[in-house]
Amino acid sequence: MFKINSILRAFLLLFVVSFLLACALVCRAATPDADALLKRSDLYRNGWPSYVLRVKITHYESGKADEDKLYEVSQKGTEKTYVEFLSPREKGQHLLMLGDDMWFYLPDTSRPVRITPLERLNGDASNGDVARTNYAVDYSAVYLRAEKVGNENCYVLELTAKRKGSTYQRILYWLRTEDARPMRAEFYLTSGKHIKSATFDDYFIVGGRPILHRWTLYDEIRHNSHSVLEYSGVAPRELPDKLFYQGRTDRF
Amino acid sequence: MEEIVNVEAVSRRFPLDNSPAHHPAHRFVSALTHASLRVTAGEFLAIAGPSGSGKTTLLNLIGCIDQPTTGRILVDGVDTSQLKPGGMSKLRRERIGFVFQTFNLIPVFTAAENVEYPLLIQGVNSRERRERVAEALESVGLSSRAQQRPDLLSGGERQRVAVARAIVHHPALVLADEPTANLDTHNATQLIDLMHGLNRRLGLTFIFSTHDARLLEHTERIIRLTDGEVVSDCSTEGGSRG
Amino acid sequence: MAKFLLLAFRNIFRNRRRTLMTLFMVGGGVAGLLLAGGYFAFMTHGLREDTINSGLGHMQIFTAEHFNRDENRVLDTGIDNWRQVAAIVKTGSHVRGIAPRIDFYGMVSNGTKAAGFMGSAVDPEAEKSLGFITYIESGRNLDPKPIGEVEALIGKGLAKSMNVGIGDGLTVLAMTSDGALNGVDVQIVGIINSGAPERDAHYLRITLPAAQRLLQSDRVTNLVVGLDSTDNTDRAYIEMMPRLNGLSQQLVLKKWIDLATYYKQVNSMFNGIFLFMGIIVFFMVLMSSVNTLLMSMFERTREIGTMLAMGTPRAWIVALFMVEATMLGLVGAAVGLIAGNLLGALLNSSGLHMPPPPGYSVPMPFKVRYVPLEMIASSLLVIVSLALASILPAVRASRLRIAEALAHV
Repeated sequence: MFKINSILRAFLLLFVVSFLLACALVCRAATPDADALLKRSDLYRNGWPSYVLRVKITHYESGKADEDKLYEVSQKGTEKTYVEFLSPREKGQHLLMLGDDMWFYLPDTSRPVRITPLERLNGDASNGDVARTNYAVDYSAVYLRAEKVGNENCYVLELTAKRKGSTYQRILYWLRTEDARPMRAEFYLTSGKHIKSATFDDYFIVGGRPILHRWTLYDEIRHNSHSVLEYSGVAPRELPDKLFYQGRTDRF
Repeated sequence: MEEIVNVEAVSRRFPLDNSPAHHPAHRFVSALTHASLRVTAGEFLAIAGPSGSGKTTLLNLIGCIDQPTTGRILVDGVDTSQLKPGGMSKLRRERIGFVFQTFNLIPVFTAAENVEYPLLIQGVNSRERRERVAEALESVGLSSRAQQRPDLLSGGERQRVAVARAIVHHPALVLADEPTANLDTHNATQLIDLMHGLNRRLGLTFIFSTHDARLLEHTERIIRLTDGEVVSDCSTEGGSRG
Repeated sequence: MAKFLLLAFRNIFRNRRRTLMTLFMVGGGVAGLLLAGGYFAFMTHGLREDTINSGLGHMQIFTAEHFNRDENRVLDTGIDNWRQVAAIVKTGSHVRGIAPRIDFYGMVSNGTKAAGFMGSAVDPEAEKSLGFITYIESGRNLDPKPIGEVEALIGKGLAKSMNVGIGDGLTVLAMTSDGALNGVDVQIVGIINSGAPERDAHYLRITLPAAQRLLQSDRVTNLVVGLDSTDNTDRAYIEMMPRLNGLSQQLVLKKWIDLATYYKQVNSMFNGIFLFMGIIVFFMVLMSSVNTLLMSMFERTREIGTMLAMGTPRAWIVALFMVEATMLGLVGAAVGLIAGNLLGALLNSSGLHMPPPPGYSVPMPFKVRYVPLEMIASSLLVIVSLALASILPAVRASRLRIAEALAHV
């Protein structure tokens, strides 16, 4: 009698513990890894460790389009970006990002101007929207929930800035469940104010990889303003360090 | 002869406290009780009596400086109770001249300017004023002292200036309240004689009050008052009228 | 009438001591007001000339548009063809010269740090010819025709925050008149200390041609007009107005007083203080005079009774007392005017100094100006005060009961 009761009890205990463990494991396995998702989503905007692309920014004010502005972005790793201004009126100007710092260079001047990623480049696009697109490096991610965007199932991540040079303090990021493709985002300032939203409208294939083709930034403070960023000429390229030279003129 | 003054049963009471006149507990003192008298033009008469007998009150009433409590006074035919304050002021200005016990000259005016005063308030033009002032000063014998201020004149001279002032505007009536009280005997009699002389010469009616018996010697008519009542009214010529 | 005035006048001097005290008080009040007011006038005058000579000028010309709206782009409300306007203005009466100016803003960068600035561009020779002083603490003023780099003056605070000194360079960025970004390297030749730290923390000055190149425009923000004397401002203004009609842009002419807000504030502050002092003097004269006038009326009770007995209209008694008080006021005011002016002259030649007023570092000489308006106002003040003070005694006097008054001691 004794023996049977204790054996049964032992089994019951073992069973309950295993059950709980199994549940825990299952639950954990069900919660996605936010950081991994974020890293994956960055690949749509930074397809290669070293690459160039062109971005055309068109700003719309109350539906009316302003003059297009064209930029060439050269990015090496996650810490060095060089943006050249190609529009005729901005000829000779360029932007340089090194780590947490950014500078703006005017032609015929001997000193650059210190700028921040949040300052606007053109329309609703900030410097950081063009030069700092590796979110995994700038933000720590937390999984919030699953949600649908249109017909697509998405994971919603909450990104919080972890570096001095991060563009925004907080981002809400909608990534498609199946492939972590960015669908939309909401951008927040330190004060908690929701200043911009973005929709990632169109993707294309470059060198066998899906790459972001076009996305739109919406001004959430002045609701009649938005900017469309369209990428072209996206290609991997070896970039020399001297391109990211902090000093003045005579670049090449 | 026209009647210059007609006092009809006049009384003057002064309240002793501040309660209004109609209040039953009202207390008063009678300065003058039921006084009556008539004065014809050109008379020279004295009102005599001890101090407190009502002399000043009677003169004030005749001079329209005060109002009777009962009775009425007619001056130069005008019923003073019917006059408004402006009217009384006008009456005094044009028809009455005053001489006071304390002379009451304006200290910052010269003798001539003091005499000029009644003409000034009547609006007489300056040339005519000059003439009449000279005339008046002459008649009191003070032409030589015309430019002196009162503080440089003797008591007798000051009173004479006052008399000149009282007659310069040819009033119907001159009232003098104890005019000699502040003068020595010599000046006192001189003053009464002066007034008497003016009365005879110019035909001006003079009424003066005094408690000095010596001054009554040459006065034709004496009205005696005691305790606010007329006790006698005697003329040296033609019997009493009381 | 004349005799009454004479009577009033002579009555004033009946009680010598009392009259003297009143004259002393009234005269003192007037003299005090004149000295204080004169000192205020001196300070205000100094501030006026300082304001004008430190760059405000006597008149300024803007476009009408400048006041209708803010700029969308730099100089879009500026004056076109400014030389043509200047030529018209230069021939105006009392005009000494004109100085064109541009107000603009942008960023300066020393390579590591950037800061915003609010600056101006001037023609150094024109500024000098109008006698405008720039408070340069170290270095020198801008060279009108420099060879080599563009020269700049910066405010003391900006120099500190940009960590630059004489001879160092900065890059100046600004938006051009058609909205593009432009930049130019400048060399610091002088540091300005204007005495307004908030202004100096963001101030930059370059020459007019340099600014016009930077901003890509030949317009100017305004034209400053200097006259031969500040007192001619109104005359010059009236003469200038019609000249500015019929031009391609609608221009407005502003007098310095319309633009000198600090001066106006200081001026009204002093006016307020002077007014306040005047009120105090007024009431002090009034309060003490009522008593003295009542006393003298009281002493004349029997005399007033006599005058009333003789048939003087009561209104005349009122008038007599009021005229006496007014005359006393006149005499007192005259005493005060003489004393005030004499003391003023004495102080002016004494070489006395006051501690420096706010914003200055140099002790100010104690000087007093002669302001006819103040003299008239102070005199009227005490005269009216005395006249008012006499109302009560005068009315009391006129209401005396004759019999009682005559019996008064």
